[in-house]
Amino acid sequence: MNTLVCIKRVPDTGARFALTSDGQDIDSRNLEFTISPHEECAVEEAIRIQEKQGGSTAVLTLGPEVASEQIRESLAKGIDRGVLLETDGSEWDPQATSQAIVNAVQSIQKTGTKYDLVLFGNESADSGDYQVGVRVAAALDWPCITGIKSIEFQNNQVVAKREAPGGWELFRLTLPAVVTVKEGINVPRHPSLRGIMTAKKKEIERIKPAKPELKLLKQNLRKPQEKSGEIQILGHGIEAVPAIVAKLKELGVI
Amino acid sequence: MTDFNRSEEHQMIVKGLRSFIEKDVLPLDEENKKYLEDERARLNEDGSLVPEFKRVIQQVRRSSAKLGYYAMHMPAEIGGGAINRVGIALAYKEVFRYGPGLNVFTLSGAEGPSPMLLQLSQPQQEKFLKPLIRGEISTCFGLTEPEAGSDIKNLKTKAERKGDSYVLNGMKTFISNAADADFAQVFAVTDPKTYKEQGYMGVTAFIVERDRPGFQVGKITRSIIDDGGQAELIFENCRVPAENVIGQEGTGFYTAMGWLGIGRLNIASMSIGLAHYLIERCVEYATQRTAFGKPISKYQHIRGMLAESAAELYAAEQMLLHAAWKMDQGDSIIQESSMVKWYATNMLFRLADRAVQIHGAMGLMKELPIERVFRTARVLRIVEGTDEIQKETIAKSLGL
Ligand SMILES: Cc1cc2nc3c(=O)[nH]c(=O)nc-3n(C[C@H](O)[C@H](O)[C@H](O)COP(=O)(O)OP(=O)(O)OC[C@H]3O[C@@H](n4cnc5c(N)ncnc54)[C@H](O)[C@@H]3O)c2cc1C
Repeated sequence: MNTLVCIKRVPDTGARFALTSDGQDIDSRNLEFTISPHEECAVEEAIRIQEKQGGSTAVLTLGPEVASEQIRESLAKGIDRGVLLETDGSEWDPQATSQAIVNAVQSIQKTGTKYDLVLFGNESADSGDYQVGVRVAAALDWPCITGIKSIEFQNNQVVAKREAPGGWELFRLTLPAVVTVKEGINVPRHPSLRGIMTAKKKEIERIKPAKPELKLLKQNLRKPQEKSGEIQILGHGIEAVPAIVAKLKELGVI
Repeated sequence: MTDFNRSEEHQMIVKGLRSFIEKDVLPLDEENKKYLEDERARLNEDGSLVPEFKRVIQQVRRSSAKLGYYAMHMPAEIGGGAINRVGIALAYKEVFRYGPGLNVFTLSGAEGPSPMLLQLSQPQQEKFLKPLIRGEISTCFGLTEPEAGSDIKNLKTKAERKGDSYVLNGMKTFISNAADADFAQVFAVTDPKTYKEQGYMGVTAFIVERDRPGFQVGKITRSIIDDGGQAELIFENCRVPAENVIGQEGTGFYTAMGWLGIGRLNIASMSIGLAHYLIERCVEYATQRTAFGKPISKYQHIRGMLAESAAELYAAEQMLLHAAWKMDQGDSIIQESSMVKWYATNMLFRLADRAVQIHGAMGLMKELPIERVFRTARVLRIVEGTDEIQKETIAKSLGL
């Protein structure tokens, strides 16, 4: 089983962040960068698949040279090799991004590595477009399923599960396939020190994709008003019970 | 040229530690709050740690060891991480940035493997060193005696050669992890004449297993930090086989001196990590706490305290990184390690005092970790060479 995981370098904003003065970006000067959480789970899933089924794993990202940091982090956890689709750091829309990924997958396939499974996170933590995985699958003409929280293999098919109210939806996909996964599918491992040291020696292939004309243009970003919590004291001791019950009903909890 | 960029490898180590601490250790802090906050819950009658708390500490050490972080300072050939001093300094700092909780057990301390044990023979390394690196067993470092603290030229513990073994008599005190150690590293005088004449030679280091007849753990001392850690080691005609000698006879102390710098830099890194933690806590508290109608962070007194703290922390951090870098270049850092240890621990002590002040009464309550850092900060000015001993070393390096 050869698995490719597509990841995105995103700012680790935590609770607080600021925008650049032109409103075009998040001010990243004091921010750390990370892998989108869903994609961290996709990386973990790929390593687990390899542990069970054998085969190879690779991780791919489209972004500036510094995004190799996120590739190395994945290599430190156990992914075999990395592919960086190197850009000048400017924004690529989902259409352009997926086209570059498709081109890369096809050119790698020509060199002999046939991917059976391409994993994405369900959506990226920054722009949250929900598009790239689906677009890649459509362009490759591979089956695709999104929002997945469990992956198994039976007779050369992927059995994927998606959480639904009160149960699970079950899907069977023939390989090769594209699956986008959601946090909760697994608990990602921490990189081990040995993993960090060996990651240095693993190969990162660099490809410079041509930037296509962007059709989706960002106007600007606006920071939402910070929500301040409100504390309401409903009463003290046992006398507060009716007020609590009324409030819970109002909130639709009971 | 000094390169102030952090290497990619160091950044990854820091991130790896963060991932481990935030996801695996901090939730344990929450569950074990009562042991961390209250020595009455943490300690048995005799001053030792209650088994429940010991198990949690053990859990943190073992999981960290499994990931390879616990013994990252040891060479790769025996299962360590072979990380350089700058990397180790950044790692300790990062771990202690999370405050005085269970995170402090992530990287090894006095209970863990030290380069001194690399002098053991192959079979002895298998028996003692490798399990230490895996976090499966623990040790203690027995040097201080009732009459020999700073004045380590006044050791009274003796070891006499009898056939192919040595007989130990004497006592050690304030030894960290003594009560729980599976074996002790003990310094004893084997050549009193040379020791008297030269001070550093004539002392031999031994491994003494916990169950060796003639060896017992004495009183566990209660202390300002009450970590159940410090106890006495008592030797009464304790027979130790010659294979338990660490390194060569008569040179134990001399070789141990070579690693003094490492211990000092580690203490400085811890102080710097804790100082970061305090500043974060203080900024958070000062912006939230209001007095006389505005947040106390708006008052010049408070702002001044925090501004000074941040500048002092910056100074300490640069000193540490420079000394660690110099050590990585293979240069001697006798003077620098004393300067960094003295400056960083005193910086932390000042910051801890201000942190208490900024938190008011809450700064003194056990509910918040501030008073715990304050107490720890006081300890760090004594261990691994007191303030005065560091200043003596610096003065000597000035030719005084
Ligand atoms: C929490 C804790 C853990 C410890 N863990 C260990 C351990 O694991 N292993 C171990 O071997 N020891 C350990 N120790 C002991 C520690 O190393 C000693 O306490 C330390 O070396 C100081 O020795 P002392 O307490 O005997 O003080 P002393 O040496 O008696 O010093 C008393 C005072 O005199 C000053 N002084 C001494 N000599 C001079 C001088 N020449 N010039 C100027 N001033 C001087 C000192 O600075 C100090 O202010 C631990 C101590 C503590 C508190």
